[in-house]
Amino acid sequence: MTMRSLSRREFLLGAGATAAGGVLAACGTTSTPTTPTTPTKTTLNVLWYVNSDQETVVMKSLFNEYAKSHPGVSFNLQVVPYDNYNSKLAQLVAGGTPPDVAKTTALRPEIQPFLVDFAQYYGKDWINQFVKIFAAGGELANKVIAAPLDVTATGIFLNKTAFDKAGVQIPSENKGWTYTEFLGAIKEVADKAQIRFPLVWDVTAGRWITYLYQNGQHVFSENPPYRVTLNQAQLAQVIQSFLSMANNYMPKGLWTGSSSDNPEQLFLSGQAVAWMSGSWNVESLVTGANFEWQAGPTPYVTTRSSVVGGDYLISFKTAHAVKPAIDFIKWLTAPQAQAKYAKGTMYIPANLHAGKVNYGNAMASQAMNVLQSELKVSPLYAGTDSGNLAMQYVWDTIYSSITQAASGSITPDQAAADIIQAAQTGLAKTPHS
Amino acid sequence: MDIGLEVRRATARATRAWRQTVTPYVLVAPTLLLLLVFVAWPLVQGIYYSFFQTGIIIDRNIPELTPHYVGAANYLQLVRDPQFIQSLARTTAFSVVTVPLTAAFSLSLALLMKQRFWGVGLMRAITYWPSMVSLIVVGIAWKWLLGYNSGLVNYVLNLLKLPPVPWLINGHLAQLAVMAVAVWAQAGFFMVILIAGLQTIPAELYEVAHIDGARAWSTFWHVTLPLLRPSLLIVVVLSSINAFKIYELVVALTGGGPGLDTVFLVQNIYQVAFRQPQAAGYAAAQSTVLLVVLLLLTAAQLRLGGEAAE
Amino acid sequence: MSLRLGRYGCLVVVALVFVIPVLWVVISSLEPPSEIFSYPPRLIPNHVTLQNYATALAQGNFGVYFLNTTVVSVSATAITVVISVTAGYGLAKFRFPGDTIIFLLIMGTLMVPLQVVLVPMFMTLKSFGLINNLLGIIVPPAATPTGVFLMRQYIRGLPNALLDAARVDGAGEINLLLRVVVPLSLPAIAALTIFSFVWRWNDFLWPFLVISDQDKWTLQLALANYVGQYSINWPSLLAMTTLSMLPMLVVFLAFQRYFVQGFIFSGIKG
Repeated sequence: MTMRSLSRREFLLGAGATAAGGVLAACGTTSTPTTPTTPTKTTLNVLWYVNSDQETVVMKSLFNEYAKSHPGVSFNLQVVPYDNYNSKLAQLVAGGTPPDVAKTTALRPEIQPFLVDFAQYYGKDWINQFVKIFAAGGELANKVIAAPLDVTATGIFLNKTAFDKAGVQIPSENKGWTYTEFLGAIKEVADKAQIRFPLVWDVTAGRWITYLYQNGQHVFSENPPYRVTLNQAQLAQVIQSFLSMANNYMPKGLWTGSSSDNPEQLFLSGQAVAWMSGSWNVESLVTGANFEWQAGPTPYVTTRSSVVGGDYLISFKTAHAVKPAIDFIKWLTAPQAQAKYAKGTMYIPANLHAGKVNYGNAMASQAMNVLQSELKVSPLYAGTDSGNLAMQYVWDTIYSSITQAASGSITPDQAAADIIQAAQTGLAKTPHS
Repeated sequence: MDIGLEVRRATARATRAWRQTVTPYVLVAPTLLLLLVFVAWPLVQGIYYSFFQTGIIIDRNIPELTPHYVGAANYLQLVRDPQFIQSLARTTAFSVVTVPLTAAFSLSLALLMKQRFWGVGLMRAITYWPSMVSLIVVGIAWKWLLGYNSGLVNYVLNLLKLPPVPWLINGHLAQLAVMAVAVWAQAGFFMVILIAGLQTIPAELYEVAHIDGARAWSTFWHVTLPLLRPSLLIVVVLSSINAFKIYELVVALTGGGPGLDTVFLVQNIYQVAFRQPQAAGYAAAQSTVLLVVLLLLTAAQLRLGGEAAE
Repeated sequence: MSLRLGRYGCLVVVALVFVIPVLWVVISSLEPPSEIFSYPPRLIPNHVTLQNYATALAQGNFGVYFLNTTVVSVSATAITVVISVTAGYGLAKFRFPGDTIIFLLIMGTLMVPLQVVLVPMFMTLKSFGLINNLLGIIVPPAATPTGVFLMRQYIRGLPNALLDAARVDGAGEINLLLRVVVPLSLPAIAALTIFSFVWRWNDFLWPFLVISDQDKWTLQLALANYVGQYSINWPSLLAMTTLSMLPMLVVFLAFQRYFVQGFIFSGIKG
């Protein structure tokens, strides 16, 4: 317990600084002018995946801004479809022509040996300016192989218009609500406001695990030596209660994995009262929803928890312009550029000193504040699990076990056993320094 | 003079014979070279690494990325991997059902649309449509049609006061749905091949059959079918290969679900290769098994179909 | 008469079964984004708008993608047709050492999912300097097992007596191919032209392997980017899918005219 709260405070220390970001930004890393601008012309190849057309626009404007202060540097933005991104990256790396800068969510083991150690260039303290729990996922044996770009938080979105119409109150963020209270409320709203489904939930392993955390359980221990903390009976119980929630409150068959129902479409078209998703969807809510909505409070069973995720920037030792790439990454992850990137893409900046981002929309700002505050109160494992490389072996099994249990081809107990088995295999196969 | 003529004739004969020998190789060379260099050679490398434990990037200067020779271990692992065995069994069942259905359905379409009639071009185009868009779009369109809660088909059933059918979210129905959509999606392509094939059947033969008073069915059985054999062989061989390689359509339609009920061989291979670290060699072993199965199947089909055509 | 009625009855059913998914794509592309997935489902939109087309076309350089795709599809199709006809003829009408092996080798390249060997394929393309080069998506994929198989099977069906007669008349092999085989194979060549154009137009794999720079993108690369990390950009995807179908439809309608029975063997006795 002491251990837990200690590490949790450590985490809070990092995330909590976001609020004070505005102040800190002033005295934060003053962007020391990089080595006298090289007169040679360099084109940086930047490999990217985009979540919206807007993101391309934001990146190009940041490129322009950087090019103005760094004559001779120009950019070639290479956009690759997300589904094929890792495959393209592997080809380029294997071919000896890696990009100079790349965005990534997962530090796949096969590219790790090629990655630039940022600590070597920026110093050891540089990494401390980022949301700690997410930054930790890019640290490997005293090296910093990934620079945090943005952070995502999982959480619930509510159709406020429907709540108002039904005359049902949403509790304050501080007060929060348990699943029992939450499910009762959304059922009432669905009935009174004539909405087809009380709840939709993204059908992904990453969203499912939120419920596990909210039950106070997690896959791996937070600190080394790593071990699997799951207990089969308890996990089976969590799966069982999740499935009964899916049966009673979500569109029939949603969690079998083959349903035609798309949570995003259902919520955006006003056919669902609540949607379990995350901060990355704020932009589509702003542009797509024609009703009033809000984020949170995200319900809990025993523990209030979000899930930490996000994107990193990486560079390769074998890239053709390592030095200019590293200068650019430093610039892009510094508070000033972070604020612009986050505002334009409607993401949460990874840099704690980026200040309060004005998203230019009241609902968006409310949502980001709430989701960030929920990240802050989350237990440490909401970040350490996904940061653990052994999770690479577990995500697929979580998805396939839960969907199989939902379709009735295996029991919740079997699903629990499969997940634990995958977690143990993962740990055994992952070398932890 | 005579001798000169003889020599010239002999030379001409020799040149001709030599040309006859060389000609087929020259004819085949462009295709063969391109395929060998750009496809077969990478495939051979893939097969080679099925005897190694390796990730998708290989770099012998970096210890973590150096492949380890494991002999037949990857192949031995296949036998003990229930996910592989089950996906292989599912894929085999899928082919056994869809190949004859595809052949029958596309043949019916071809017979229906081989002649000219008003709007035939448009009808053929509509039937060929699924081949004109990506299989992902085809899968998504059907996913929308077959949705349990909001799909058009269940909506129509509802209007007719019939209960909704769990097309995609029930394991057995989802397998049937994937089969039906797969047949639907490739029928137009094979129809085009069969329409082209039907043009090789001399009209005179139909006239003769007609004069002999043969009925439509008997003409079909004794004239059309035997003469269409080379084209039907294309349909059977290619649709078998397609069936064993089915992937994009299923991913878009059911994502392999419900649960794992529609996970076929290639989806399993991709998941192993790209989601699990250090498993590229194992995925290559699965691909090699697929290659061997298909080579044997195709050779058998060619032999069976070829003998009669000879 | 009843036979003809039956035929039209069948055609109506076939048309319905095939046309509804097409209609869904086309009609949804004409709906405002908020109405694409509305309930109850419908095949007739409440509002018709070109908004999705305008949005999609405003983003990115679709003129360039369209041009690239056209250049690639037309030139690759020309190569495919020529080399498939020659290879098909070689495999259909000659018996030579290694013929079966060569044929199975060609077919074998169709039997393994290429996504598993993308890294070695990339390395090979790179060693030929074909990366980020439109030639890389024109030449290597022009060799297709399906095309060879199609032409081989079709040409096998042509009567040997015809070829022998021409040979006796002293025609060289090239002459034979151009004067006898090609004219007789027009339906199959038309089919292959349609197939090849559609394959190259819709291909994702080769452009994905070869092309990195956005100014060399094909339409399919642009379309694939509508499927994002978290969600799919339906309005733009449906609009651009509909637009990208049009050239294929034109090619199909132009070439399907060659599927005509009767004229081929008129006056020829096998």
